[in-house]
Amino acid sequence: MMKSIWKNIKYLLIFFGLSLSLSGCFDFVEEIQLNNDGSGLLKYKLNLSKSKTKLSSIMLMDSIRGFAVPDQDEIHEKLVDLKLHLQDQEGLSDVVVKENWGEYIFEVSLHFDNIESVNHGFESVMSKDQFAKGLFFTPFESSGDRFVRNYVHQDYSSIQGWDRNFTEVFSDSKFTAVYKFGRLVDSQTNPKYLISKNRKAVMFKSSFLDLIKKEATLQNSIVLQ
Amino acid sequence: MKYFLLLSFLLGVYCGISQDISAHVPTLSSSVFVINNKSIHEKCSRADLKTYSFFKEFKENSNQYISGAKVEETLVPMLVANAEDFGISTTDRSYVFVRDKDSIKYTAFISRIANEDALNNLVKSMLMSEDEISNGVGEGFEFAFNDNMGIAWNSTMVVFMDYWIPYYAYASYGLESIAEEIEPIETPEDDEYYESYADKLEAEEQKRIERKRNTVMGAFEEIYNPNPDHTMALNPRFQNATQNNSEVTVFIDGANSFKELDGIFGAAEPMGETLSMMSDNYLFIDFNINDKDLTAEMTYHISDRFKDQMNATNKAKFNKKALKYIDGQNLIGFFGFAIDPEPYYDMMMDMYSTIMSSVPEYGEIAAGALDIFNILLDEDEVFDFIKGDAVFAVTDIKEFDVTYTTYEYDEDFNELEVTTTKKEPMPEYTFVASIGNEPLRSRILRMMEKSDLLVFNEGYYTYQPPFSRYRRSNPSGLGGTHYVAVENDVLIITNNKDLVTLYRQSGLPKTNWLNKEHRTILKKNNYVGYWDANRTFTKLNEEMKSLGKDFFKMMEVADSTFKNATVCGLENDGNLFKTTLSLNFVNENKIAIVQLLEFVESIGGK
Repeated sequence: MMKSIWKNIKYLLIFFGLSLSLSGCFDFVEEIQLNNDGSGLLKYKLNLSKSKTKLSSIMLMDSIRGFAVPDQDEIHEKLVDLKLHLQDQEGLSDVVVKENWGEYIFEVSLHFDNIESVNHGFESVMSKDQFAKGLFFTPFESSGDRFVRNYVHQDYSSIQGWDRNFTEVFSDSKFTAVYKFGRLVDSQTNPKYLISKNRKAVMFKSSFLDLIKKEATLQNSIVLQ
Repeated sequence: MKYFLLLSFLLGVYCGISQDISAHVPTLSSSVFVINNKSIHEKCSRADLKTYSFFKEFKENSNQYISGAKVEETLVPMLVANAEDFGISTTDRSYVFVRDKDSIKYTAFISRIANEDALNNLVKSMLMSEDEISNGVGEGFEFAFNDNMGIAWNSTMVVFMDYWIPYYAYASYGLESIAEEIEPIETPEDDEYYESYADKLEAEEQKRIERKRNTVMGAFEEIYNPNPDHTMALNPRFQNATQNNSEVTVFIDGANSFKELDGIFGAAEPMGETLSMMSDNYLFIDFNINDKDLTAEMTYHISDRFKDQMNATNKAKFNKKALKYIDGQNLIGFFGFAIDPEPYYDMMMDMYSTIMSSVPEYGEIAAGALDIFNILLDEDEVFDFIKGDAVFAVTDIKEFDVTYTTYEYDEDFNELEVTTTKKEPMPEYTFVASIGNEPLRSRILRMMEKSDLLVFNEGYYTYQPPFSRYRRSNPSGLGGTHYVAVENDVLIITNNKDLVTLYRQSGLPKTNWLNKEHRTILKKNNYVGYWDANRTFTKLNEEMKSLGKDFFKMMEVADSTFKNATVCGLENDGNLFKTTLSLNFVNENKIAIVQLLEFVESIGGK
């Protein structure tokens, strides 16, 4: 089961990576709403709308650059598998997958009892694949008045054709992280994060290329009042 | 003297037939490829094929290509292109044909042998690269085979064959149990005593191989020692199809192709009517490499039963008023047809009802349903609405406004969805079709308006894709905005707004019309196609080229090689209806084959 989930994710990554390598234009958003009791809402959104014309052309093809292009039903099936898997994880609930095929926007959101459940959820998905397992690190930590977003720069050089392709793939792609809290933000360690006017949220924006080239980091430790 | 002349004539005919190995192609083959080795060899020699690096590489590694090559996919082009080295005749015709017998289904390539030693080397190298080869000797030939393919040869002719033995022929490996369930076979050998179970298995394996050997040998026998009355040499349809002596001719026999259904439905079913309907229908395609172009002429021989209907169908012409809406200034390509829908409908219904009636069990019900449909259909109303001519044209590649969604954040980092517009290069297209029956078309348009598929503007409609129906702020949806208009009894569907606003009533100005050459093609034919390869790639900008570098590199080479392609038809001569496809090259000072080989060399070198 786990293996097939990771296979599904890899399949989606290959497809979207391939699609993006032809367009180099997407936005990825990570959003967490952390309640005072440690529970919260996690949302991931992949927005390919800017490349939708090219994607719709690619979706008409059987294969491109030697990779089979999946149809809408196949992708839907894989997302449903992912949803079912996450739903099974302890501490995770209300998993919702939204697919907007008109705009090519895909969203996964879920409720978590505590931030460790999210970490375990990620780990369970990645642990069955040797390569993905090697990439795993604990992304979030939360204790009392502190919330930490960890980030470890990865070495992707073992991925075939990585050097040749990654600039092209991520050339115009953006990563946004928004973390919202029930309490006011007192301080943080990463100046790249902006603090909202009501001081209850922080936001990080960067190009994927900067993150990959180690010119930016997501690492941040936020102290709450 | 006249007896001498008659004798000479008969001898000449006999020699002609005996020299051509079409006398070894069974007349019941469903399709036959006739390869004019002499002409192809001459063209390749003229183009100096041997100097091209892709050909040199292919020759150096021919052993590796031969291993496991499929007859219809790889083996034939390889053998024909390198005929001299492989000992294949470069002066006679070779044949590839598909034969569906009850006992075996196969695709075979047959050719005369010019150099026996070279051919023996080829056969040896092929056999050495295959596993589990069995040998045999037939009447006047030797053969070898494994699970999928067979080779047979004698001193004059060689046969390469891919084959499949259907389970009901009781000889297929792994499906023996299924065959036995259908009809248990009890032979005296079954009672034989074996020392061990292993011995029994070995003996059964031997029997299976023996049965397979006999089946394969039967197929080779049919080729080497045919009944002279049942070969393509005496098939008038085939002889008619191959008289042009083209580089490659493909012959597809309607009745023989339909015989496949006979096998599926069973001989007891009433397929006779369908087979009789298709009996004099056949298609042949002549492929030629000429000095200036490559051509494919598709000729359909329509039986007397459908000839008149086909003629009536093709009497239709393109509507001149509709052509006024096609912008020819930056034309990329178009295709269209003009048919009289009424006789076409009658012909199709005749065909379908005959075929339906032949289908076992539900055939009569389906044919009955078709009859009821015919009774209920108001033909006058429908054929007054659909006039039968339509053209789809890509008139330019240019930048269009395309909307997309992004997300912005307010001061408290709450997400806000924003619709943004950007310019993106896309094809500009126009579809035109003649339509009549104003009350009916108005009803249809009103219905589409009510269901929100069309939104009425001043004199034209905007198409609203279902997924964005509830987003009034963004009616364009995917791939820009599409417009629909009906004017002068012409249905216009386009993404060129000017066409439905500025030029809807009177059509485009004369200076924008299709050029004389294209108008002539549309005037003289009722099935047409045209593609301007050169202009297509000139129009594609850098952004579109990012759709895959390798793909577009190849297309760039194609751009400097191919000028344009045209399809024209149907030309009619008695029962024959012909459509011609021609591919024209950019450089008029080089012969087509050289440009084609240079193209292959360029893309092969990337």
